[in-house]
Amino acid sequence: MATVSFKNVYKKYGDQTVVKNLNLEIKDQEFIVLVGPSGCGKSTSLRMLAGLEEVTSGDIYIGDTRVNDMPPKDRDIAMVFQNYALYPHMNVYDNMAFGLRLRKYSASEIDRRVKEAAAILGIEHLLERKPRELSGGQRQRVAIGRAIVREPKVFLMDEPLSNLDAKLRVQMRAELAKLHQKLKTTCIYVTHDQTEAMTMGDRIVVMKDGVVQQVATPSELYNNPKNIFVAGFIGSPAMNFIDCTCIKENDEVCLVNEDGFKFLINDKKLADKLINYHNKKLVFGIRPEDVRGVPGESSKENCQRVRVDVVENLGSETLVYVSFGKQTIVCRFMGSPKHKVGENITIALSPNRYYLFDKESGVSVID
Amino acid sequence: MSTGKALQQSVMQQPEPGNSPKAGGRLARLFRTENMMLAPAIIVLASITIFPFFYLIYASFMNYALAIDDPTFAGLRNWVRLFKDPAVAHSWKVTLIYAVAGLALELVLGVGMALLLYSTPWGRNIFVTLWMLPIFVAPVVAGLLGWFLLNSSYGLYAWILQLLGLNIDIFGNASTALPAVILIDVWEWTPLITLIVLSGLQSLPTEPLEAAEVDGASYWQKLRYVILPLSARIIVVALLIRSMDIMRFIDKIFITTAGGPADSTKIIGMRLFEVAFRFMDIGYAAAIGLSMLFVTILLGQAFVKVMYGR
Repeated sequence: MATVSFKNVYKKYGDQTVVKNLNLEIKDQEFIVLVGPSGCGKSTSLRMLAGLEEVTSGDIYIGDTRVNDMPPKDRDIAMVFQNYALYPHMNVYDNMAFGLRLRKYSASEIDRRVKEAAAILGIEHLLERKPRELSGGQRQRVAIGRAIVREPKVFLMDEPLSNLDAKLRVQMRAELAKLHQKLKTTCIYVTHDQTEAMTMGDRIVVMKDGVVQQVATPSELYNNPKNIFVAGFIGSPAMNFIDCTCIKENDEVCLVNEDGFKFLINDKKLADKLINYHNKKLVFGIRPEDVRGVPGESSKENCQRVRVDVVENLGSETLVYVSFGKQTIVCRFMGSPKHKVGENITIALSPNRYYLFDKESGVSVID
Repeated sequence: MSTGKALQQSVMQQPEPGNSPKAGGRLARLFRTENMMLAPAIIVLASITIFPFFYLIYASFMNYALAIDDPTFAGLRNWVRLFKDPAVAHSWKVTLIYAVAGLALELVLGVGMALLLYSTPWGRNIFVTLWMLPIFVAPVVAGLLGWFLLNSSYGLYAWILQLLGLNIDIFGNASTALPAVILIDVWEWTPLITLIVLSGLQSLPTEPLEAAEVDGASYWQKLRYVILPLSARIIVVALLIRSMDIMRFIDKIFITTAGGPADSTKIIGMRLFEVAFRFMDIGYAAAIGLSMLFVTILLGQAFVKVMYGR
């Protein structure tokens, strides 16, 4: 068990920088998730920590030891790979025992650890099988078992669930979370799936183009995204964005655009702040669940007349895609569908649960 | 255009293999479009290999000399002679030494070089190309090169050996001629093993190797427990190809020693050539050839067993 820290870490391939100035302090026993679209540098960061990629500049520490120049075998880490990376010519038992044998553990100790891990993962009956005789889910368990038996300081997981089918993924997600509670080993988990990140991480690191966008707990990330990328990446369906201009007329601050969008800022403090943005471009963001349907042709504040384009019935809730002008918005309504495609309805945007971003920099205007 | 269309239709109308109608029978199935399209290739193959093969069997039971007018039936005489002939037995012994020594050296050097090239971080293509050069040289030229370099009167290597005090005629000495032709073969064909094994190494999945690194394996442990077991099959394939060729390729021996001195380099292929074209005894040569084919098939079977038996 150990802390992990990245200090001013850069990774360059030729003149392409894939990780830019990564600074990250990971606490002991923490489950931290690196998330971002493909090519954002999350896997590279993990592989640098594992020692499979060289660090171009900066320092990586596991505990108090600087590990930059340490080969992977001396770092006391265990890694679970996306494609399981089992040794195809060894049976399950040997796959799990391999790392221990290399480290010269006694046969009885190896046997004890392998059996124990197999019991935790429910794969005792598979120990004699070769990897090719296992299903995807079973292989993934073996890969995890191989990591567990080592009892390392840090677990590294590189998209371990992305090769599994949807149902198995949800199941393994819960099992991994449970496993972490049991073992309490520091765990660094890479994924491109924001749902996995949200459900598993103690803290989440959102990355894009090699740069960390935000490090925060799941709820903070959801409620206070620092910029437009994080806002759009976290949450499903994604947040709605409406390009608009901030104007001040009389004593009111409004957001308007040419599609007929009009949103009145009620919050006095925010309105004062937005004076600086008079006539400037902003992006208004609202999550699908913060949009309500309103009966009739209400002309109240922050209501919008829209046309229903698509209705998706998910059983417990309904996603309704509506449009006005060139703008499309997803709304999440509880219960089964009440609207028909082509119908005109009125929606109300929540007056206090919305987000505002600077159009140019993408940074949140609300703090 | 119209034939193309007709072809397309007939292909599209082919019934699924599982539920093909029985009514058409074997003949109809024999003349199916895909079989008709395969036919030219099969006919060519038959005329250049299958017919000669059966003719070879026929010849092995005949008194068949190129000089005499008509072959006469010889019964099992050629075959009995084959098993009693001390010269043939000697040739098989030479072949065994030649093949085992040659293959062992080629295997060790070839795989070693493949592993080196595999872990070369840069310039791999240049090294591979340089290393491959001997394969591009015609085997006869390889033999000639060996001949020139080792010739006792003007050869470069022979001269170097003489400077070191070893004053021997390499090709003229029964104890050095065989090692010399083995080394020429190694020089020429080790790169082939490297090429095949390297391609196998390059297609190895990287993740198990990385997993082994994280698991704590040193380079040698990775090699011993992961890389070699995973590339065992491709190594066996390379060995299979070489082991079949090494018996048949006689060009270098033909050029350098012609089987001598005192039959010390007369591998079975060389013996076959001599029986057929020096002694003109086609019937006996056919029997020797068939015995070589038999050994080759056995070898192939053994390799396939090693590959898929596990």
